Amino acid sequence: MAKIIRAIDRLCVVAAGLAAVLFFVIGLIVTYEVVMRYVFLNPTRWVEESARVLQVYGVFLACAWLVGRREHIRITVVSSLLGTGAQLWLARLSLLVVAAVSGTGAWYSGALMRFSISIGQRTDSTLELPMWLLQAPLVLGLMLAALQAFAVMVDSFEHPERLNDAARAPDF
Amino acid sequence: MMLLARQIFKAMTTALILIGLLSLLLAGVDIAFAMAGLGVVLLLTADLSPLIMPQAMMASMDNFILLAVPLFVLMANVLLRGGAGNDLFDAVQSWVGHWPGGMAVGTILSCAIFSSISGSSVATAATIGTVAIPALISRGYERRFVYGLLAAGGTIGILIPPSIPMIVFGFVMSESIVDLFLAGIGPGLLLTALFVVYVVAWAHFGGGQRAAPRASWTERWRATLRASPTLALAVLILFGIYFGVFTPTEAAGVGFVAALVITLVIQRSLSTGELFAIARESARTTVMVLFIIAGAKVFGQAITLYQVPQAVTAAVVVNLVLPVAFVGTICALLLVMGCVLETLSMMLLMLPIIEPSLRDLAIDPIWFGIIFTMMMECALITPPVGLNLFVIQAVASDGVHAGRVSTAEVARGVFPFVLLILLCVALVIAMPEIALYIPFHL
Repeated sequence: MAKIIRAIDRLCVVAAGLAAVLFFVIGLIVTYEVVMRYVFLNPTRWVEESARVLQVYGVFLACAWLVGRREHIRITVVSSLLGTGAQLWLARLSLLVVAAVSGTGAWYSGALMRFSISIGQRTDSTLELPMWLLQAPLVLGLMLAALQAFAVMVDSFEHPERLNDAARAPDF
Repeated sequence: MMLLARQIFKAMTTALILIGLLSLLLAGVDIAFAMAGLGVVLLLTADLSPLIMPQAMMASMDNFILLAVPLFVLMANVLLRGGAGNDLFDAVQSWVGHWPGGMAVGTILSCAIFSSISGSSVATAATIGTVAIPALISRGYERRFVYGLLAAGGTIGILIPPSIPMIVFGFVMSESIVDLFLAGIGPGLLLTALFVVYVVAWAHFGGGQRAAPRASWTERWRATLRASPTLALAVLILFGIYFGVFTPTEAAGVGFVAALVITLVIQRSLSTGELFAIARESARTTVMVLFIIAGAKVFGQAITLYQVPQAVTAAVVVNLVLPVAFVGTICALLLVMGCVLETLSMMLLMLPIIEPSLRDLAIDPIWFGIIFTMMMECALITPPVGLNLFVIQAVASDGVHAGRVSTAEVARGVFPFVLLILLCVALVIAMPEIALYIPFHL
């Protein structure tokens, strides 16, 4: 079991690393577009849409990594007032909800993707990308998030200290 | 009779949905998943297609406007790691540090300048705080005052453009990000001025601090030259957006690449080895922000189908006829909610519900967006849940001049600044032109 939990976590770390690279690439191609437009008077047709697609991939690929580290935003005002044991059970319950929601999301995303493939749906945009290309990260990311949430919850019975309940908030 | 029964049913449904969401949130479920989960349950209960869930999540992320979030976060992280805050602080101090209370004035001005390149209050507080806290304490400034000054100074980061909360507000309300950015300039400068006046008065009436020695002209120009790339970056972003040279997303992209050039090539304060860590840290922050938007989108669609916003609007329009009364009530609510809720969740919980009320009461959404942002500033520094309090606590505890600093100590220091922010809110409510003059009349 420990090996499976570690493997899921490693997968999440790799996916998050890929997401980090994607966000970096978005910055570069958006600037490339500005340079092409003003310096070479030759705006691109692919940057805007590609950047949007990369963002969808980036967000959903990194989602599970944050689930594993319990870094998604949450409210801890009430739970922080409770004892350690109650906090632990509340954290497990929270992870179970996350696993259920992610699993449901992955399931319906899969259904949507199968439907898009079956009718050969494409985006209504310049690049006319296959729609499943945008839906695939939802299936992958949410499935990984469901697995990760479940794995962390199971792991907490062996290593309760890893279920750090210190909520973190976004940097803005 | 039927109509009354229908209205009671609608009111009960609304109450049940809101209680359900609140229960999940208070139980500590991740906000994004609580909202998406409740949204899909509502869809299934009403026999509506659950495929709305992935469609809404994908549609919210497949958005060019929101791309500004990761890019501004990347830019702020590059500048933070590259030590841009030190140069800026030194440059401003060389000009005003010798005034009575000058170092504190310089701190506020540094925060305001850094705000114009960072859309984040945390980045502003952390960047300037790291260098300013030890400097201020070594000059004899009272610790509590220093902590409050930095925690509050950091909040200017979300009012002076660019601003990540404004991007999210504009996205949720389908309003122009550029107008919101421009509308933030007036109140941002007003708040900076209020902080400066308070700091000067505080220093004049016995702050107990020692003024820094006057810098020579050579030192001033040298420090300014060192900070000039950062200042040029601020000008590039602000004027680029103002004159329509690029969109906010493009400004963020150009700003990010320019920040890389400044720190990697010009100042050589950053190594390429640090880039992956910066990208990963930025991805973490970005996903925290954007995933909650995806969850809120699912919830927003579900409650719209249940006509929850319409029910709230009907109640609001009957009870709060005057727009000012509505805005005042929302501000009071935000002040209370801000003590216990994190700012982004506060925004994404409230906006989908109150949006129709704004329309019905003919309230300018840009003006309201600025007021909302200022109330978020309050939320960032009001205990027990105030993000900037934690940031300053962490930064101050790391400093060589301080032992372990408590959140309570930081919180005591911010009280006068909270009053100043509320004064600024009151002024913007009384004189909307403070916010609306630049975007609509200049």
